[in-house]
Amino acid sequence: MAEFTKGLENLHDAITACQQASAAAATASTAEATQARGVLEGVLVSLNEVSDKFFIKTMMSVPPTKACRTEATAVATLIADQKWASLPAAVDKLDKATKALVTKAKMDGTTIT
Amino acid sequence: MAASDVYFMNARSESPQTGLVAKMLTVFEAAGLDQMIKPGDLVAIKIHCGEWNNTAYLRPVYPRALADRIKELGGRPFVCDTTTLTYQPYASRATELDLKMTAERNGFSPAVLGCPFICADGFIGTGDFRVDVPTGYLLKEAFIAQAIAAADVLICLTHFKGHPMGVIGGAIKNLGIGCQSKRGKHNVHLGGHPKYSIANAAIWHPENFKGKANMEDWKILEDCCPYGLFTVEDTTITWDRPKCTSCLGCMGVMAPRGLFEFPEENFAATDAAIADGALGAVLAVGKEKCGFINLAIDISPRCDCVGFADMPIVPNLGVFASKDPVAIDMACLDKVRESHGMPGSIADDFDLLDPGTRKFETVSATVHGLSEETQINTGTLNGLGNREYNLIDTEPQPMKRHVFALDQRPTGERFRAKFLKFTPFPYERYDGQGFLREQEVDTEFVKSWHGNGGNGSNGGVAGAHGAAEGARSGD
Repeated sequence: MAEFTKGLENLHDAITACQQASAAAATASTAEATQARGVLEGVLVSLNEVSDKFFIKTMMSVPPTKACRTEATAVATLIADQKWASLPAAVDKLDKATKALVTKAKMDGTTIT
Repeated sequence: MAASDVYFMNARSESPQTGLVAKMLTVFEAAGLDQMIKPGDLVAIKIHCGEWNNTAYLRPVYPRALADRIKELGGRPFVCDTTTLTYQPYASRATELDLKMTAERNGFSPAVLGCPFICADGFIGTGDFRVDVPTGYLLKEAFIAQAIAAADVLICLTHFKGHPMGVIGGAIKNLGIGCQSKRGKHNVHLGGHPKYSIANAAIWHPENFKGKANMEDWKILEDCCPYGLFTVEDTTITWDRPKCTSCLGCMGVMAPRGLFEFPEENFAATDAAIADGALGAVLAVGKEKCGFINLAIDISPRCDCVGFADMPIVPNLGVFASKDPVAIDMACLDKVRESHGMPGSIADDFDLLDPGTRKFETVSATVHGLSEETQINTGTLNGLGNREYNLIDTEPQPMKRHVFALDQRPTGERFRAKFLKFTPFPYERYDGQGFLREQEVDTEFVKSWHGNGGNGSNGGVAGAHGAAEGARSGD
């Protein structure tokens, strides 16, 4: 079996990264940090909502949760490094990855068999 | 047990005799499948006609060419598929009528195939032949589509690809699901089984139903079941669980809404049962009367039974033929493992682009923990075939065997008299030149784009040069 992290593991990593990023952003006073914090709160709500869905237990969840983990980690790193100029674009990527995950988690039209 | 022979030709083509249709016919003969057919034999060509809007299924030219060859051998071919379980609320092949209409839309009609297209298990899917499977790993009987069981020879013409439940979709699955009647598919999907049926394996979460008022599309919860086993009230949902047949029509509805969970074991048991169902099909026809051709092309991660087709996960690999359905699937699977993954495909999403990776159980399987070898290993244990094989590279046949078959005279002989009577070329115009055209143009000019100001056509050679020079100077 190929080595990869499962959807639920990716999701937990993404949630942890978002929580760390949000906490770090709360200590900063820049406009970018404030804007990022607002988006991160919405992302955390979405990630927690999909965490108990059947989709997360399927193989199909691996790529979209991996994308969320990657983007959340990037946001957390930028905030930790105080690289504010690059932050809005990274936050936008995380928001888009999260929305893609929420859409896929609905499994609309999915044939499981 | 001696290794089984699998005849192989790769997917490269540079001449009529190395095209994929020619290669399919070449390995068909190399494997001795033509020798199975005697004059007057009814020959079932089992294909997968593809779900509505699927686009990865085998093009109809393959069964057509095979049917033509079988007719040359004196056989009476028919192309066939079977009705499906409902599998999802909008199934397109669950009755003979729907199957034939979908098949025709996908190109499988008698006019195209040169022989009848038959729904092998009857209008609803109860036309079948029961066969004992004493060596079955899980199943001990199978219900084979009547037209297949009645055939003198069965040729499984299979598109090799991935499958969300079976993990791989090859010859074994074409037999183990594709050749079963609808009743047989209930059996293979373990309806009524005390441990592995949906009724007994699924974890039911009615507490996750939040009420009609909170679910705009609640009606689908009732309407996904052809047996009417779900009842929705204002705030509750009930399931007449003991009557569930594992038709699977509800899976894609209930699971995403949190009402069902499926243990991996339920899927894995079905994968084993597929190989037993496959053995049933072979026993119904006769082991010496079954031949297998796998085309490993357009290798989509999900089966042709879904209403879409994702990018192939690997490049086209080639054409295989064998008398052993287990060996031919193992050979295809090994080729997929040896191959690079396709950039941009789901294999790329999973970082499976390097050769040597087990791709299907990652990109095709619905749930974690399934194996792409379960069908193969079970098929070896139950006596269906042998996972050890000799892969035999097969030489192309002479080109003349694969040129236009309806009239093999050279074009001069075929068209001379007709072109004299209906001359397509107007020799009488423009001093024999035939058409009004420039005498010469700058073909180099149009190899690059020079902007809208560049017009190389109206002014002939001089105009083209002029425009080009203008473009270069920035005009």
